[in-house]
Amino acid sequence: MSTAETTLATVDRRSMQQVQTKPMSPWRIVWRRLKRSRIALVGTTVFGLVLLACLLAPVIAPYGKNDIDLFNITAPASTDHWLGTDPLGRDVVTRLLYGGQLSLLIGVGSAVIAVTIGILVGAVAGYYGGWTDSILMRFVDLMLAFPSIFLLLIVAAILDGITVANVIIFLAAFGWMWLARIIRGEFLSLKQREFVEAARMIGVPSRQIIMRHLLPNVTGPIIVALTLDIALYILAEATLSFLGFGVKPENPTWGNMLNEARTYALTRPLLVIAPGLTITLVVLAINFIGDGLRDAFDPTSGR
Amino acid sequence: MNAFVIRRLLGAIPLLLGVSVLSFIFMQLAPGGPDTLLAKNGRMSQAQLEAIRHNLGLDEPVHVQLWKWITNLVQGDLGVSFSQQRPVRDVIFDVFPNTVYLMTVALTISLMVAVIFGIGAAVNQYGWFDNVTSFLAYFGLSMPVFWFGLMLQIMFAVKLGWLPSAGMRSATGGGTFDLIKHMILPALTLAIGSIGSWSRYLRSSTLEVLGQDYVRTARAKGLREQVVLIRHVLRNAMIPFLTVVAIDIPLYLTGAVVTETVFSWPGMGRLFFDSLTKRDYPVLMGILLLGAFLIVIGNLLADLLYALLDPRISLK
Amino acid sequence: MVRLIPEFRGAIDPESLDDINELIQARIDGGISRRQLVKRAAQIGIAAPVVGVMLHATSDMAYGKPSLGRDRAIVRMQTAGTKEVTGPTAPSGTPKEGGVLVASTIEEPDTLNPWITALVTGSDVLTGVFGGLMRYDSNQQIIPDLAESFEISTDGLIYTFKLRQGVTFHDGAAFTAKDVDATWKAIMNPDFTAYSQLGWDHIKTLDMPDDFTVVMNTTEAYAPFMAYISDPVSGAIISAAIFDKGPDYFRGDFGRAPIGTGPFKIDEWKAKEQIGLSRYDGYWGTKPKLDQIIYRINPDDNTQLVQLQTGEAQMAASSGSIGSSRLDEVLGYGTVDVYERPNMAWSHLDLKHVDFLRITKVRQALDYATPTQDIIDNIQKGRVVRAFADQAPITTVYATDITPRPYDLEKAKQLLTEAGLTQNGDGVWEGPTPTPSKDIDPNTDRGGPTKEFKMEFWYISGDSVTQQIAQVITQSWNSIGIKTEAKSEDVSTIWSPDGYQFNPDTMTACMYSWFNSNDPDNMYYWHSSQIPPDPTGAGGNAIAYFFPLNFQAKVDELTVAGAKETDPEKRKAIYIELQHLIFDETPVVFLWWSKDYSAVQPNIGGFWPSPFNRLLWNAQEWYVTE
Repeated sequence: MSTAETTLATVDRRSMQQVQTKPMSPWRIVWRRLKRSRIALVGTTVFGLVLLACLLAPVIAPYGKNDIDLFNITAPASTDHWLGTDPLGRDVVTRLLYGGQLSLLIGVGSAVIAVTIGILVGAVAGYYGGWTDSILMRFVDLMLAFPSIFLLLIVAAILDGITVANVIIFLAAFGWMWLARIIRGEFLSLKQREFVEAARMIGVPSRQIIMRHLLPNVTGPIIVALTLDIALYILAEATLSFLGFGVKPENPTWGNMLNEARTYALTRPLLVIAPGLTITLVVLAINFIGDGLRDAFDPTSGR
Repeated sequence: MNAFVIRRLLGAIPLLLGVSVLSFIFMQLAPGGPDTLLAKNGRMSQAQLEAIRHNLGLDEPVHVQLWKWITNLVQGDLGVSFSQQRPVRDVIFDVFPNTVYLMTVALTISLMVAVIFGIGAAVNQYGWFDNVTSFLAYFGLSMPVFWFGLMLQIMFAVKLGWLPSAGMRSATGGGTFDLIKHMILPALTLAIGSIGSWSRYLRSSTLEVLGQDYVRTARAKGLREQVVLIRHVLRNAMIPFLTVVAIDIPLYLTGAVVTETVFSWPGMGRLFFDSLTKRDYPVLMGILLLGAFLIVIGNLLADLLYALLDPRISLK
Repeated sequence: MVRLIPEFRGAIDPESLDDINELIQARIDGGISRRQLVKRAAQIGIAAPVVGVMLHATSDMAYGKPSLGRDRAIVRMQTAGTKEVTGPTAPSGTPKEGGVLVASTIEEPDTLNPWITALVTGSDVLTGVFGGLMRYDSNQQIIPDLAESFEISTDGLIYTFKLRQGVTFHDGAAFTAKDVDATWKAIMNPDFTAYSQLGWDHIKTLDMPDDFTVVMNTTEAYAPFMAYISDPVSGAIISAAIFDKGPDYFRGDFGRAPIGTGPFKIDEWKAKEQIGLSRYDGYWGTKPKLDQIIYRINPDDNTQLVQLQTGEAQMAASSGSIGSSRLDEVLGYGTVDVYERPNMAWSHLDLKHVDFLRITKVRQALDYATPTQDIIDNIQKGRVVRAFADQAPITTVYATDITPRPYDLEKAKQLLTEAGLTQNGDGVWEGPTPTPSKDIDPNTDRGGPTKEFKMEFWYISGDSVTQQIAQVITQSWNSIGIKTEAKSEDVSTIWSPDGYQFNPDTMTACMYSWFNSNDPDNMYYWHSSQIPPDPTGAGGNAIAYFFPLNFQAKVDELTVAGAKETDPEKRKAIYIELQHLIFDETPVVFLWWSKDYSAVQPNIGGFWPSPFNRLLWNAQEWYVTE
């Protein structure tokens, strides 16, 4: 049994008091704690609804995503256009739905890639230690020393033609470091454990040790990191697009909708409020989920 | 202690060197430069274009340019701005103080509000104060910072007209009061993200301390709540909090980019953005380095603070 | 010596004039007509190139009385709510002594060194700070500045200027002939990186017989010489002592705190905020009424608009002009008047001449497929003027007899068919392209590979109006089967060596504007010598980078002839023929000519905006009324 399993099983006294013949698996414990978190519930509901709406955009959107109507630009909210129209006469609700697809794709995509890189680097550095660790951590320090938004903007300005793939890659490229540090730290302490030494002595290959024994112990932090990263990257994409270095406006994202709305901020504030509020609510929802997960995984938290 | 400080400082030098080289490489990969805009704009002859290129040092091989860059850097010379034709150092320090003002005010606001919200929420756990401030904190760290700024601008400057919408001072000059009026909205915008994350952090940090044995002991001894709070809880909760603050401070610099853009604040964030548009590499590299420098200092400070305030930590 | 300030003497008999300078003076005084001058000059044996020189000295060359067509064009362009510029503003009310004026702009000058600034906003400030030998007013007439009078030798090579006495620079130093000499030498010295050497590069030697006389010996009878060297910005006269401080000081600190002979001096430059100017009491001319001018730097037009609305800024013009899409808002404020003046900027769709775009009929088809008038009416709200060639409606050489092509999709398709293309199963046009060689005639040769007609439509990012227009045009081209993809990039990327112009594999259109200079010479745009030698080279004829224009020989011939011709009537005829050629061949799709909208508070007098002059050119005449 791994240490995480033992810890969770021992500490969760309440569930032990219930009529159980065998100790619950740690995942059941986490799941149960998660279910009890009200904010996580709220967060999941909101996020789920938004995700569903965006995925169903082609079905439920009232207009096409690039239906230009030059006679009706920046129109206020009406029965035809519930949130009005943007500077090219396109329906805001439609753009929000389609924009969500890209914003969420970028958020999730970047987070997945960043977490993957973080795990790779952290695991290798933490497990092998020594020179590998030193070099990798020096590299991490170097990347961390850069003010990431500056670097992000410079790279965005350098790249010819910002595509969605580009945005995902370089957002991830500047955000994997903090998880790498955490994973490395965990691995450094975990690898001292007896079961690791035992496995090594038997001759289990390193990769198997990492994958089958060490990694499962850090799934908690990884999942939490992934969730919070998604929130962060959605915000990062919004900032990048707002400054004009994100996805080109032919393809809507919540961020570049804000960029286009800026000229009309004084005369049509709704154009600014709509995408901004959407981003805030979605990020809020994700943060709730993330906090709920963190509480669920961490046996020493208040509840 | 001194050995520790010196070792950390020395460790920072190769870091800064690496940052310099990397940023130089980034710049070289960029398409176009200030001379391409000239070639289009002016009715210049080819000979004139060559002369200007030569003067800007653009026709030298890359490794020569890099070497010059590094050697100048060590002497404190950050090169010459392409668009303004004067030392980068001067260009940056023209606007640097303005950002420092903003950051200081924002930092003060953040700290005060975060401490009140964070500790207050912990003490009032699950109570109405906790619920309200927690929600506000969550909101604060979920919003796009620039959106918050835009909202503030629309509400207070345009719709209500209480505060100026942009700039640092009025055109016809104004005193301190004028400066303060201009500073409120951008400082608030810059502060909102930190208020959110710091108050959450401080809340959980304080809760952790409150749950500790020695606090219960102090309460059992009959000490008044306030004394307990100040003497024990505060000191211990603040330690990790301050280290987080020290690490986060350089983030203000990056947050300044959007905030200064929204409020037309004449600071480094705006300088960065303007230089980006003009492909003014020397200025961009200078700001990048300044930012990296601040981050390294911030981390160093955080380590020192932690070591100083927590006697349990050895300085090895 | 020719006196620059005219004196009315009534009509003068041309036969009584025997000397080049007498003729010039008579014309300046309005005693003879331009035609009479040219005729008499020929009679007394003055060579044609020298006549060109004379006409520039009398301000006749590019200017002269407006043609009838031009008047009509101006009236047609008037927008409701705006006022036409007829002269300086003259509000009722008593002019105040003193006062502070806040003028707004949306771009910060890169430097205030007059020879190095590449931005209009720099020149805006500098015309009030520096002086040249002469300058132009808003009717494009030469008026004296640091030179009081001049004389031209009969062979048109030697210019003698009598300099004004008692002029001081802002630091108190006295102005003498030595400063003109030092200025010339510095302009020609590459260490001082002066951007424009035009005119000055024709001076062979310069003599100073005394402290206030300068004699310039030029290399040839170069007509625009006077025009070029008299510009108060690129020809700003700078004190010799400044150059002694070395190029680094000149390119650096001097550009932050310049010193000139103009009516206003620079007090301070708060980076990214504003530039403060104040009256120079030692100015030689009309003493300025205003105490101070604050040149407020706003980062974008939103911020500027708010300031105009609240009255924080009292003026926005030239580099701070109001964009046509924001005009309605500004007119609604009620705090400022808006003056309208056509300018010399023509918006167009650059077409890279490769593959199908080398064929005239294909380009004409694109013109038919572009709903230009619709865009003008609906997006630009009628505030721009349809363009069909490269000469501005406000100039004398504007061809009034050309009718632009209407929006006709059927005609476009017909032309594509005539050019040898057919629509495939998806409705997209395709066909054989001309042989990718420079020596064939693309209108008949179809020896190249068969391709689909796919276009990339590039436009400058950051402006929602540009984006709207780009989307409309893209949709229209797509609707008749030209597969078009819109791409937005910022300015630096578009014109970088990696930009669209130097990629031979794609057919591209790019939307942007060229600004004409005061002279109709357009070799820069079309002549084969202006094809950039490599992606980083100079030259405006980038559309012919891969293959010369199919009408290159003809356009070369005409542009050169126009540049050399000195007889104004003949010159006009050449440029009209050129416009017809350009309209027929459609090397680029012409869109429209824009206008300058200047906003100014009603109580400000003396303000006289012009597309030929920068903001502070007559700032000494400005005043505020009660």
